[in-house]
Amino acid sequence: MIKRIFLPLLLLVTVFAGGIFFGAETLSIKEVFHSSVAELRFFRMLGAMFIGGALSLSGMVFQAVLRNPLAEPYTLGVSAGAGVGAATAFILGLHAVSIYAVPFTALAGALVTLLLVLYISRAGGGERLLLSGVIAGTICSSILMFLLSVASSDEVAAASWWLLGDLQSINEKLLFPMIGVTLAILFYLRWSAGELDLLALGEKEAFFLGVNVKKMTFIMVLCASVLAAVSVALAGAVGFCGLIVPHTVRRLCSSSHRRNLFPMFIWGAVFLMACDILSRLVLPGQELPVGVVTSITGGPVFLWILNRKR
Amino acid sequence: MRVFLFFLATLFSLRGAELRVVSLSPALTELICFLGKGHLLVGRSDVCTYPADVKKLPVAGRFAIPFTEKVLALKPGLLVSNDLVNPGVKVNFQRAGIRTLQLPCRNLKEYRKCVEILGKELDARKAAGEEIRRIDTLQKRKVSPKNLRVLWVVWDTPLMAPGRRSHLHEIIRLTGAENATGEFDQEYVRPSFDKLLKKDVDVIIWSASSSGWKQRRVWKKFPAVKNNRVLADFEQDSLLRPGPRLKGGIEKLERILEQWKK
Amino acid sequence: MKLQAENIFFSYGSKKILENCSLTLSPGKLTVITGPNGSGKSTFVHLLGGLLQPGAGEVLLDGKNLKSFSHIERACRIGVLAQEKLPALDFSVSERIMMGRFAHLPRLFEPGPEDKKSVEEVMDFMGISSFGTALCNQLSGGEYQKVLIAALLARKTPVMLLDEPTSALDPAGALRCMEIFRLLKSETAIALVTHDLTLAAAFADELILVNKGRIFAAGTPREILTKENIASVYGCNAEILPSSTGPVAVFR
Repeated sequence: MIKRIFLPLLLLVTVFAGGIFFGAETLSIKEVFHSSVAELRFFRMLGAMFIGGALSLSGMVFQAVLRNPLAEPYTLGVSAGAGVGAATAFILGLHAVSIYAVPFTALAGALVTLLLVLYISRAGGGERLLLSGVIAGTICSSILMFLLSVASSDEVAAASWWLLGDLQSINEKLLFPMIGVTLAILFYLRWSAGELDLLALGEKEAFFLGVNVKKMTFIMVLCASVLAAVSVALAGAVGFCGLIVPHTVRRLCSSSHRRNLFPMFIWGAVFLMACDILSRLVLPGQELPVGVVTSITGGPVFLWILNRKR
Repeated sequence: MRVFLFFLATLFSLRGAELRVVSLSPALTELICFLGKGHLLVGRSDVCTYPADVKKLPVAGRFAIPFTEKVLALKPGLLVSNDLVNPGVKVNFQRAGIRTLQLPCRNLKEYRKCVEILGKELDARKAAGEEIRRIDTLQKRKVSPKNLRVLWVVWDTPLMAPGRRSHLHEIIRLTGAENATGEFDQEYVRPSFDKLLKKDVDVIIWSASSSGWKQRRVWKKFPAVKNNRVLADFEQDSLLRPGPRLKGGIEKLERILEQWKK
Repeated sequence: MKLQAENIFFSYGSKKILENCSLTLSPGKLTVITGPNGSGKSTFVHLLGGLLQPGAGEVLLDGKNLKSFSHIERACRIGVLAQEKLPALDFSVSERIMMGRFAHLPRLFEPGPEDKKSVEEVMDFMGISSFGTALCNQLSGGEYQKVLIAALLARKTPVMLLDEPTSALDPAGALRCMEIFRLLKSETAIALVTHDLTLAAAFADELILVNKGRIFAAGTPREILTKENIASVYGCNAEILPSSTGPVAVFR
């Protein structure tokens, strides 16, 4: 319990504090309590924490339900769908109408893609779902390319930056609803962790052990998609988090979701917050899209852990 | 009769010999019209919308991306653009006897060069000479220091602002103010809010199409927003594209900044 | 507790898999189902376990239609060992066995002492106590099969259905496994599917020979394992030798 929850929690608090102190300028203790920079960083760290956690949980659930280690928001087309939604908002000029426009069109895009994928593959099992997701993702990417190629250059720049993931542009007004949704799903997943374990064994096995397989698969996929969609809506498509964090935590802690659910959330949060701090420090005074940092730092760590014996 | 036919033929061949130009850059389109050679234009890019007359021309490409077949069909002698996304397409035009000219136009020095070259190419040396003199006087002009720090928000999600290599940096400098993101030796940068908040930005020029400064908390921390010194929708076209309207735009900006000067 | 199948039919589209099959499982009786590949044995197990619904006929658990039980109620009463692939995630052996007790575990808290005790017990029983923290994916096929049997035993259900539980086990393992079932049968209704006719003859109280979706013959091993039955079901010759445990079929 101590090693599983409290150590990561301690790390979380440390990284969070680090994220407030360090950036383009290092703050002193006094400044932390009386400066707008500290407040800005506070919201940003809060965003990174919940987006990192949400993306990791999302990847974890997809991998368990689809029984495929490569499943994550991207493989189901959820992220690409959100991207199409966001790009549509940029191109139609909705982003100028309201600050909520892009997040909501992203959410709508993600959910529409998901529902289509679920509807198309309703008769098949997890493998069919995954395959449909991959194809839906490819179609969405093509639509995105099409939208970007008919758009004028300003919008292309904005949409393409946004698709790399961007924590600087997080809107504080959207942050708290997102945190609420994420926490609700986190506790629901803890409640249903046993079912999630069994779904990971296979549909037949889960059924014989007493799980309503159709219903639980649907709910779990929905939870994971909502997590992915709210993250994409808030900060764009931050990649790699949903793949490396679940695998790493399973290696470090356990594959049983009863045991690894909270560590999963915490490690996901720590990972993205650390990447965000790094993205601010690499180019002094400038921003690097956080997606670039997650891939570059996360990739090698992931490979190392994958090839290490437990 | 024969003489008359010959005369007609000469007339047509002379008319045919007149240079036909396709421009894929709004700044260059504007410049060509300004030099009095707008009648030579036979095609434009989809974003060339000034002066209003050019909208009647057929669209032959997007910014830096020619539609090859469309351009060939227009039979121009010259294709001008700031840049080409795919320089390989030049071969197609060379084969058809169309000259391509890439005139980068990212700062005043490059703009001056554009004027010089186009003046020569389009036989408008006199008009070009005048524009060059205008640019030179603009740059040499004495302005009172405004003691203002200006942040030019080119785009807000993500935040993009001009670095030292952008002509927007020069514009701010020519008004006697200081570019808040002038320390970066790049054309455009993604500055971090942290640094900007520490800098006391006095004025914000908002070129993004949203009105994010009214909505996001971060912006409310900037003195510029607190004091209501945000210039939104300000002379967008004339300043974002270095062109003949630059001078008027700069002078207008300077008058506004003069009122706020410290 | 009694599990009955009454004249059940099942088909995938127009392809008939099972026709008019009936059977009764009750404590005190070890039922063994055998038959050629593709004869419908696994489908039969899936129907008895409630995974598939019969096209006609009924599956009754203590006289009540299986459909009227909730998922958890059913899982507390009928334990099924299906032919299972290795899990996609790296569960440890003890975690995998604990999953067998899903229907009994508290949702939010760690498994209680009773759960832990029964997991240790069955691991001991199956001779896999040393595996504990090993990952399922690092085990061999036979070792994982022992884990699956342990997971089923940990459920302590009054009805157990096993689809080829001994297929990957060595003779000693298979024998041990069958002995465990013999010990359990006084309180548990057990049906198992196997291709091993010698084991079947040695342990079965009732042997059911399935062929082409129908129950070809049912009775004691001595009645069923005859030269004629084997010739007409498997299409090959066998010699039936008597032994102390039961008849042994030697194929030639």
